[in-house]
Amino acid sequence: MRAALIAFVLLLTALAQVTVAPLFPVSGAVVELPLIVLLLLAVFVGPTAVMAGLPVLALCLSFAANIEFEWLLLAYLPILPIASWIERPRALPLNRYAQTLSIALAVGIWARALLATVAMASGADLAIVFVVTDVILPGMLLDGALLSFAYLACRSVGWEARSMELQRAGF
Amino acid sequence: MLIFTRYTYWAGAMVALAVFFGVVGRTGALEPVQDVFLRATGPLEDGLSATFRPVAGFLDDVRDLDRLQGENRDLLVENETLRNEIAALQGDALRIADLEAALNITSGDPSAERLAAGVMSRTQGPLTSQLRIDKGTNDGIAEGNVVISVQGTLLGTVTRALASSSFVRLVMDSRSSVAGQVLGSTADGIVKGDGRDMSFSLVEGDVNVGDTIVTSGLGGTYPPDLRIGEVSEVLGDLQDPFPRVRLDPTVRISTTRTVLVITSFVPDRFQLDN
Repeated sequence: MRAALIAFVLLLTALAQVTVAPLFPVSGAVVELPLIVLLLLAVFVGPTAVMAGLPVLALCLSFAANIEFEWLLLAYLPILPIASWIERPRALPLNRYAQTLSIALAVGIWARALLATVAMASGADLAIVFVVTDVILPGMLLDGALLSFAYLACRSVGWEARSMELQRAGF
Repeated sequence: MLIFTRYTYWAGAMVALAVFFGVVGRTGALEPVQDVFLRATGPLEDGLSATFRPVAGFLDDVRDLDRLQGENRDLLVENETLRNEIAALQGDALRIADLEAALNITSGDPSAERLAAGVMSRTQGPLTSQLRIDKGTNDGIAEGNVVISVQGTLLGTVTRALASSSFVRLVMDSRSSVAGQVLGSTADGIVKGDGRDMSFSLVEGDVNVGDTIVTSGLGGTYPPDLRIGEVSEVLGDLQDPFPRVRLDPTVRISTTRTVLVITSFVPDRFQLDN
């Protein structure tokens, strides 16, 4: 039941990225709803939900937005490895909210840079300065703002932030 | 690697999956699955669009209130001028029809077979700009068909045609380039997109603010004389061999609900790189 609910949320996220996100651009940049939903899943449901959900979300978004699946998968792939690194003791002295925000910003930069590189490789005539100032920076601001709002909303309904580190199997 | 301590196998599996889908996707094997997915999720997409589009439209209008009021005044004046021109043109058309009948001339553009299609969604990324329309290969649409607005303005090209829907790469897309020329002049260049705006680059000849840019037909990818946009800004000095020219689209993509696909136009050379 929980798996079906998560799958439906991921489907809805992919469709919202295509239909809703473009309606609210800021300086041309569009919020990365898949990134935010995957991060919230990692924090409030657990990393295994992201491990299973990432390919599902990438496939749905690939079909809906007509973007190659492989690039979407690689764009959001660093979420868990970066989370794992940030959560290490003495890595970054941050609280859970700041850790989550840091992951969003880091993966946001990676995802947008990757997709911009793919666009350039397929013929887009883009300056790197334009990609930084008009794509990456406004996008990071949007992601940060929406993630903060969503994180606060989840915490205010009583959901506890979990560790994003994969737990060892035990008996 | 330190950061992959616990996720090594998973990350490796994901990379393998990416490679697998990359290979399978290029064979076209996923297209029927994509078509079924898009058909199944169509109502959900419509519901999301219908819910959020009015909110976005309201916010847009509030933001653009001053500009819209000015535009409304200008349009009223332009409307009156155009009505007078239409009256004059109707007289000319009647005379031309009489002359054609007298000389036994038949007219008609064979490349003007147009199919109306509804816009299902719009993907507007910072670098990409595309539409999905509700007509596909079952309706006679093929990759490379040119898409225009109901008023005849160039919107883009069909880059992927599925059985019951198609994706249209808009002229604002950063991967789009269209051979264009200034209407009523020999000045020509390339219209390029950057994801949300258009520029007219490598211009040879004089270009002024307010000029209308149309397709030149060079290269054979688009039919000639389709309106693309109007020059809004010319940057660079007189000595500049290739001034930077910005274009305003003459159609508001965000509110476009119906488009026309020129199904009978077959590009001379159409190479997809999507």
